[in-house]
Amino acid sequence: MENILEINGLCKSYEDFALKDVSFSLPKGFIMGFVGENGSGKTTTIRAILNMAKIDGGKISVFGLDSVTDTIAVKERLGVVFDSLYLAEHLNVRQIEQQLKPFYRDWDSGEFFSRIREFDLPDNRKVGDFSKGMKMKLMIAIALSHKAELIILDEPTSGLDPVARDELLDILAEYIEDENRGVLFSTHITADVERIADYVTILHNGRVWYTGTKDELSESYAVVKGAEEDIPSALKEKLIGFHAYRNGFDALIRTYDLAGISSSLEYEKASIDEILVYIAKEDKHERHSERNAV
Amino acid sequence: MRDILNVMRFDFLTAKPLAIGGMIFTVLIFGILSMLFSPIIAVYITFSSMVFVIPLQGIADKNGFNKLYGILPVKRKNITRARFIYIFLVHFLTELLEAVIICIAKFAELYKILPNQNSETMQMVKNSFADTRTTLLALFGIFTLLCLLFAFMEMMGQIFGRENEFKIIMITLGILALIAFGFSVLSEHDLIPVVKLPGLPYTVSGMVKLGIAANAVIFVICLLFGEITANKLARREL
Repeated sequence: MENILEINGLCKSYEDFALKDVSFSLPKGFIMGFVGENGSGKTTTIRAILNMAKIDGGKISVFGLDSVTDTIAVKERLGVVFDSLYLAEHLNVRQIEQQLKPFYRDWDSGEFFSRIREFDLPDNRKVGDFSKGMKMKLMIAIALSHKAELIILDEPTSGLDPVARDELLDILAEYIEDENRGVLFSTHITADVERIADYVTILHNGRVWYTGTKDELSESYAVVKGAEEDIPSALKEKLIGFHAYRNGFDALIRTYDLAGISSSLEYEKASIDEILVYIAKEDKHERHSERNAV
Repeated sequence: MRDILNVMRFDFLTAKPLAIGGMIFTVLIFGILSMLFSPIIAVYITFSSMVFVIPLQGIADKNGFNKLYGILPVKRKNITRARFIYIFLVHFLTELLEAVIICIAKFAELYKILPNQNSETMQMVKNSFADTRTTLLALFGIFTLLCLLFAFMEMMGQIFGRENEFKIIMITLGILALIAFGFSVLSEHDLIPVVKLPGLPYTVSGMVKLGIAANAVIFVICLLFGEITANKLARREL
């Protein structure tokens, strides 16, 4: 499978945050959900892909091109949807189209206006007066009008009502039907990822915690529950985000660690949401232990 | 070059809906006044060119254009360079417009339809229509000053941040005032000889040549400011 996006060993340090050795790839024809709690490094990674942030190490290839040296060629073929509109809010759709079209060799005005009609966007109203859902659709219409082969969305569904979210996901699902395209979809609303993503990359504290297919992820982790005294000591160390409460405990566990588990413990497949929560709990637990040790 | 033209077009289309009304109003008012009372009044139109420049940075900050600059297939340096050429072009085109209005005013001589042709005031009006040299001096002088000021402010604002713009204006004005005060004190006490500037041309054609030279110099300065700013900003992240 040919990769449309490949990140290898990406490192980027800020005063209070760092991306450490981030590596993942997205094959053509698929949607990748890029998840992680706030501040995990999703936006920094996207900024690095767009060459908006200068990387300290590693390599990013988009369409097989280097994201730094071939940045112009990459951006010709890239569509980006941010969490907020990046256009002049006092202009209407027609004026925006006039502004943007000369920048792209493959801009298709017919396609743009047909998308605008399809998305029910008024072309004579200031875009600043649009609802959040309408703004998202406008950014997608722009991406589709210059025939973007990869769309990167940074938290597009946060703040959207369920209907608008559903519409957006449908648009992405339709877009990906052409198997030569790809979507990288950053979000912390994991239900959206569960619905449309084929691949998932989980970022935690600036590191890749998991990258692979969504099916593999859901097969790989389970939530285990039961009485604390039923946990074999060998298993206890393997529990992620262990949380004890009055009547027992719950934790995340790799499914291959479930072999030979006591029948008194219950377990079920973990959702992406649960995985994120347990990773965060584990992190908090580790920090707590470190503080106690000090 | 294509990138720079596209970014200039982008800037113009961003400012146009906010600026065009004010510009047309100013051109009409000062155009009519200059036709009737003195061609030199047309020079005030230069001040309206600022409506095409001043709103740009505010719009960019408010609407997150740094994100847009990050996704457009354009070199970042060209985005900065284009802004400075845009500033020059806006002032240059306004200057051309004023020159056309001045020409029309001089040839139309509409002051002749005004009453009291023999009054003292009318004599002054007639004199101003006859004095092309002073009109051209004002035209080129105001263009030079304003274009230079805007390009300088753009450079300072982009390098040091818009929040420091007021401070920069105050410091610049303070330094200029201090230099002028120093010179006046020193020359008053005969501590420095009176500096005699080389004489300005007396003919209209000489003044036009001076104007062309001033335009060329300002264009080069704008390019220079653009290059300095682009190099400084290229080191920062979007």
